[in-house]
Amino acid sequence: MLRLVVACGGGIFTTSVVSEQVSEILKKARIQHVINPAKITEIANITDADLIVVTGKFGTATRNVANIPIISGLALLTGVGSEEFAEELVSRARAIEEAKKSGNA
Amino acid sequence: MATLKFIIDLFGSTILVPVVVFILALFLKVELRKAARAAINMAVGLTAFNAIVSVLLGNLGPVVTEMVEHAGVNLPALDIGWSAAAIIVYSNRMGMLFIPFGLLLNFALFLLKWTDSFQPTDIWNYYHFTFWGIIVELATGSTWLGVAAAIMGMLWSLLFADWLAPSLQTYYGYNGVTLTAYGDNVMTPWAILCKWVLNKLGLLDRIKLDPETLKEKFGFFGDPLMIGLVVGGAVTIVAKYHALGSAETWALVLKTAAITAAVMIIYPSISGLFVRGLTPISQTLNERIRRGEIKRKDFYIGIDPAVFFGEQATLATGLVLIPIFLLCAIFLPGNKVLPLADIAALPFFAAPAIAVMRGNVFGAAITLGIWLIFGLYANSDIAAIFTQAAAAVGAVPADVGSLYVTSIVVGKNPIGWLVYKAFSAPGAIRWVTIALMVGVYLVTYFLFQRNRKAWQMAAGAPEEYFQEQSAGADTL
Repeated sequence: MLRLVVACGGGIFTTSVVSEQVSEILKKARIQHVINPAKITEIANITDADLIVVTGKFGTATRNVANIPIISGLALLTGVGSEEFAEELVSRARAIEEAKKSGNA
Repeated sequence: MATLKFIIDLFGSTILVPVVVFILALFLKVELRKAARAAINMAVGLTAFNAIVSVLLGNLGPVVTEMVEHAGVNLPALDIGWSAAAIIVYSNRMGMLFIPFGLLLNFALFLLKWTDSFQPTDIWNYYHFTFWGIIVELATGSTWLGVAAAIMGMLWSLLFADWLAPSLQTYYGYNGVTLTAYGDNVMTPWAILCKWVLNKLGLLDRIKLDPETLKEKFGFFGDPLMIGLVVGGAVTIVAKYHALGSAETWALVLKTAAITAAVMIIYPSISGLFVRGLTPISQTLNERIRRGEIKRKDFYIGIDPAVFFGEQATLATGLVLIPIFLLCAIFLPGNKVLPLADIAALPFFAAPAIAVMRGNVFGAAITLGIWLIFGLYANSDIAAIFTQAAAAVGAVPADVGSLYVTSIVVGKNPIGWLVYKAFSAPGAIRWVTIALMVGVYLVTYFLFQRNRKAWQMAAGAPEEYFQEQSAGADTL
């Protein structure tokens, strides 16, 4: 199960838009996942997630306490580069799944 | 008309608003499954919202009333936040009407090239101008005047969006977008004026505030949980100042603090459910305009201010103003607003000031600080009528005593407030004030179109932006 956090300024509007699309991309790739909303100001201290998506481009340089990777999902909001984003997301998700499996074994 | 009223009364806005949105979504070619899921989310979000607001008002409400009546702290207008204001607006008949009608008007203005900003992608933020239309309708009893005031607001917001776009794009590094949220972009001319004055005084170059340090020192103030605890607890202590020796008082202080914090924490998820009703519409329109279904070479896509949040200077400006703003609310004579839910949103509306000031936190803080003081008075003025609007849709109980509700984000809009005053002026004066308002808009609009580049540069856009634009046009 891939655990994602989607974050924006208020954790409301753009988070909802991006979460829905992230979910759709992952469903198409048949990757099981849960998505939790957050605020950008909270992402430094998130510990229980595999990947963090911020809706703007700010926050991607934040240092997370658990070293969780942070990527920008702006493409899903503006539509520019959304296909490239989908590819990156899926490959990252697969890599995380792989790492978990080998970790468990 | 009678049948319509019967249907509205029977189903209530919690069912009716999602149904309207569902039909509109299908009409705009949103997939049936997506449209249905969106409508259901919206209905559930609205229901949950009504429940949580009644928890907030039921617990914090009596304490605020007691504070006003017994402790002499006259802050009866509780700030319930922009998401609550939006939900109240969309539950109103005019808000419902403006989802399809505003969309149509947006398309028309865009296709007729009245504006370069494509606002339908930011449909969620329609509440910013519809809000003023609703209170005009309430004040005058005329739906037409309300609709006219809302349209006036939309026109202003599109003008500011066009004006600010190059500055925003270059400062934040987002290509092709603009800020269409009226309550935020309306700050553009004010920020330009402040920049000019501060430059004349030589203060912009001399005073530099470091965003990183400010963020660390003031980050504490931006946490909704802390805001809830502090405001809920402090209000109770003040209200019960005469009985601070009793254990009951302290039990109440702790309970109210916890409940207020809980509401602040739950708010975003509930609003998130509600906005899910509108996201498929804005997404579908976004995809369609990107695919080139709407022919236009240069345009700006309307985007929610949340994407500007998190940029160092913007965040720092908002955070540093939180304690100052709270002190202003307490000590400014005549203010009636008790800030709560919108405190955490301060860094949201620093974006236009930061773009105009090109990241100068000192300049932006001065701009926004004065702006917020005005915001307190405007909100004090409209709190009573806004509470009436909220009660009309059942978002707050009809009898909340001397308590009022308001939203700082929506109310801190001088142009919106002037439009409201102009469109609801008494008797025949109204036609003069409306004519004046329309006149001022048209003059500003045509002056802007004529001096477009100069005005956009005054708002902070660099010369290079326009060179790139013309170079881009040559290759096309």
